[in-house]
Amino acid sequence: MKILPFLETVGVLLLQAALLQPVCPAAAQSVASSRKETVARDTLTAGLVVGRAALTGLSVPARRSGSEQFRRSGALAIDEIIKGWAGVSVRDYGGIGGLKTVSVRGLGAQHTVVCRDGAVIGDACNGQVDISAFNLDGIEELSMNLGIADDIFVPARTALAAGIINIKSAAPLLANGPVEASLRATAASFGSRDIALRLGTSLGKDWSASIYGTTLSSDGDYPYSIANAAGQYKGKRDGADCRRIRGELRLRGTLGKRSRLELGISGYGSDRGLPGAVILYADAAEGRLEDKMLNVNGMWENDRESIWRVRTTAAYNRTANVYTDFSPLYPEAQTDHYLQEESSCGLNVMRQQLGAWSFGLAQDLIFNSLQSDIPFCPQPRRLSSYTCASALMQTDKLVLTALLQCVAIGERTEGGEAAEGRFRLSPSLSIAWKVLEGLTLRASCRDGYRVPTFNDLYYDRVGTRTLKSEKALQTNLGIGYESRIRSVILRASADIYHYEVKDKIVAVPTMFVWKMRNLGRVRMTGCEMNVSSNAKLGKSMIYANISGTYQRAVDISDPSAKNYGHQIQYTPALSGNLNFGWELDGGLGASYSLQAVGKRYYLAQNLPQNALKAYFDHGINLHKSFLVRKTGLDFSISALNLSGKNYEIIHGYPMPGRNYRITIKINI
Amino acid sequence: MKKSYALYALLLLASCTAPAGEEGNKTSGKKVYVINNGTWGDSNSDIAVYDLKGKSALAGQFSSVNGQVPGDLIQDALRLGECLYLSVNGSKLVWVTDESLKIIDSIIVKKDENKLSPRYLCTDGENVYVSYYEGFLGRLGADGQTSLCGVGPNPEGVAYLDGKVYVANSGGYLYPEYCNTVSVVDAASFSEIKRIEVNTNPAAVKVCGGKVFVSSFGNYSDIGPAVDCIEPGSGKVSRLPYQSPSAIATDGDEIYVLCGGYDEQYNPLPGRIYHYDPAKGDRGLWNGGVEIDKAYSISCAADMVWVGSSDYKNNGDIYCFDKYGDLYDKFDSQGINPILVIE
Repeated sequence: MKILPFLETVGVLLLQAALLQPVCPAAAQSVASSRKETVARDTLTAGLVVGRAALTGLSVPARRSGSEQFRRSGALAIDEIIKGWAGVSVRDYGGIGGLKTVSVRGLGAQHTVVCRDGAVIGDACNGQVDISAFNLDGIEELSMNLGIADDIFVPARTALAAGIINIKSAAPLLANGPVEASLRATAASFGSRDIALRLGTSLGKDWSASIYGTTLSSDGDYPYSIANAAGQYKGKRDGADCRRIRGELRLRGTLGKRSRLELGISGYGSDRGLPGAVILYADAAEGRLEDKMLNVNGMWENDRESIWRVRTTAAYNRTANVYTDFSPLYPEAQTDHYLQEESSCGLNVMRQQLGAWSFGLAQDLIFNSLQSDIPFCPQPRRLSSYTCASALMQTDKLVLTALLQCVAIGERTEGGEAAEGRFRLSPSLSIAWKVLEGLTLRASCRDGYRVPTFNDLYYDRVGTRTLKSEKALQTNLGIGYESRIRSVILRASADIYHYEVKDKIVAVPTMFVWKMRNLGRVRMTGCEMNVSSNAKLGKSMIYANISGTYQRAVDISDPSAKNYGHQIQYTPALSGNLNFGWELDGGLGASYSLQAVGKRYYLAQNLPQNALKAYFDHGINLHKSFLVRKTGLDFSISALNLSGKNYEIIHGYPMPGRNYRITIKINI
Repeated sequence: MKKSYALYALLLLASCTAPAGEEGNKTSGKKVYVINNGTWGDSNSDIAVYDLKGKSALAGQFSSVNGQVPGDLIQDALRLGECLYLSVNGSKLVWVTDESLKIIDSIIVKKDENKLSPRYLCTDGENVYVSYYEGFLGRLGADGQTSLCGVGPNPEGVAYLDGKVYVANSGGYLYPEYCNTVSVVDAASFSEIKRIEVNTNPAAVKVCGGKVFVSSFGNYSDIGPAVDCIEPGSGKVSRLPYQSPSAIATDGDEIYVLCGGYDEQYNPLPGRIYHYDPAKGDRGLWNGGVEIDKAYSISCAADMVWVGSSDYKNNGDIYCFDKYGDLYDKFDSQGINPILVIE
């Protein structure tokens, strides 16, 4: 991508120009003031300003983090925030270009839905979204709900997902004029460079536009040392380089006095090495992956205060992947092409202000297709209809949410028999009861499921066209507490849950090839707790968050199997997070984060030789804000994975050791 | 092999070469090596040592003795004199160890700077022959030299008989068009002299009673698995009368054929063992047709027949039958996918 060096040069020149200007202490104070305003805005919009906290008053567990927390923590990527949430695990294959997917409470990543500004990011082929494609620039808020609660005005297809990650883009504030701009440049260990440019402008009285572009390049060639029986095996990650570019344009406007319209277009391209698992004594990176994505979406909704709320959405997504295997085992390099397209439209209608009640009806229609040149690909097409009827009752003491989702799916193929159509009705019920001011009890139960992906059904030799949907009955009981004493805010929550997964879709080996089958049963029982607080002490803001999870997730598929009753793969019994930070009014701050994950097993049988060691990943960040004449300047330096251990989240994929990152951001 | 090791390797191979008349000399038979293949990409293969007399298995003996794991996928193992050769496919090397599994040497063979991936092993009593999945047969010579000979695509099983090395060309990476030939390599000139057509996707090659037996997987679709018998002189191929054969082994007198397969819903069917006398032909079910759940591999060692079973995710089991077909012991293989038992 020849554009990368050009943008980097421009970015460096801009930074140099800004740094050469004198620093004005008074102006820095002004920045701090504006920071306060931002904090206040965050408080209003996100409900809290502490980091990585659970929301306490909802009828389902929820996590939420805002842009202020992103800034304080020095985080740049979505996974850096999400991995700090209780009950969530990010499967990270290491390195900047490594695949990163999110699973909730031990359920597979296919049970997690990712939404960007209300539009679901679909992947009918794999069923899981690689969140490494997104970073935090221009993101106002990142949240996750473990079910739908207290807001029934949501897309129908998200209604029964186990986890719903919402990525909310920031709209231009335009507080200081008709144009605002920010430029961020980051340099990090292992040859990583990253530049992001964001522009916001008003387009007349009722419209605004935001443009965002980012490029990233990383050599990714970090050294590692992993266990080899009694010794260590040392090497360097080869073939883990990554080049990525992303651009977005978003228009926001009002039509008349009561309705709002948003239109967005985004493109993404990446070229990355796939180093694969470390193979002892024979490191050889032989795969590469190119991704190109185009997304166009639009949303219209009427006045939020209207008794009849209406929202319509439409989106088109096209994702092309080219995988090349350079293994000398092939007569020549093997190249597979995949093209996925998704067209969708949605309608939400909600009748509110019927006393304590609101009723909603949501409908999504989605058309997916896959074209590939891999052998015997039947080029499947799928038409899905998701309908969700919902009711919400809200009083001072009680919030009750009931959903009934209906899904109907039909498929066609160009070769061979298509999977049979599916139809399913799935209910969900949740309740939150405010026992005392600040103290809430909650309970929820839902009948979740996941539809087999195209790969599950049709992948040559592996797919099984008769697969049923995987069912996951999820129940949760929780308590939330919140208090505010002067400038101290304290939030705490605890949940216990029990999940039962049936017809789990698993790859089962046969004598000759692997086959996808509905064989697995998994029972998960766990508890989570989260305590967070922030306090204003004089000129300092102190914030802290601690969370912990205990989970027993066992395989109960086959009583005669040696792994019957064993903890399922990659699911720790114990995990936790600790974050705390301090920030002065002048914009100087520091933060510390710790992620602790207990022993896991990479194979089904819980034997010592199948265990992955527990690990601690902790990092620190120092940041300082200045105002240089009229230009805001944020400076941040982070030291990550301070212990320097190449721990493994996925077996054979060592994470980078101690590494450093410097970020400079200019706000105009 | 690296030149700097040439002299050492010469001494090593000389020490490993079985003295004349002692090829195939049976050890006491009280201990056997259980080779656990592991799972692909996890570098978790290892070797358990099973004590026949005490009926106990010690796990992870290669790792225990050497302080390092064997690597990714031990595909085959072979004894030559007092040395063991271990072909580690994913890790692209051949370990040479003593009987205690202590590493004596590692042999890495390259072609155009790329390490080659060893699969199966055989010996003529002096040299060790290795199939390399990149399309070569390697000879680890008693003289310390390593030679390569081009064969068909993605070779698997190898066997030596009367100055010829028979190599199964699977064509596994040519999917969906698998290969269906066996290369015949003249050991003296170390060159391929012909290819013999057999069933699609040949895998294991065994020699018994002066004949060459080849098991093949078919194309997993309309061509099923089979066992073929090659007459070395004429090159004539005949098909053995077995349905769904998945593995073969020989004790030198008979060929044992493990048959199993799957039903229409891909539920595994239990494995059963047939035996075949090269002189007399099919002898039907062995050991009364005892059914073995999740049967995965079959080996002959220490006058026993060993069947490994695996569900591919947990440690396997080994069923040990005596020569009369009676079950002598069943034990945990101490690893995933027990692919081979040798003595």
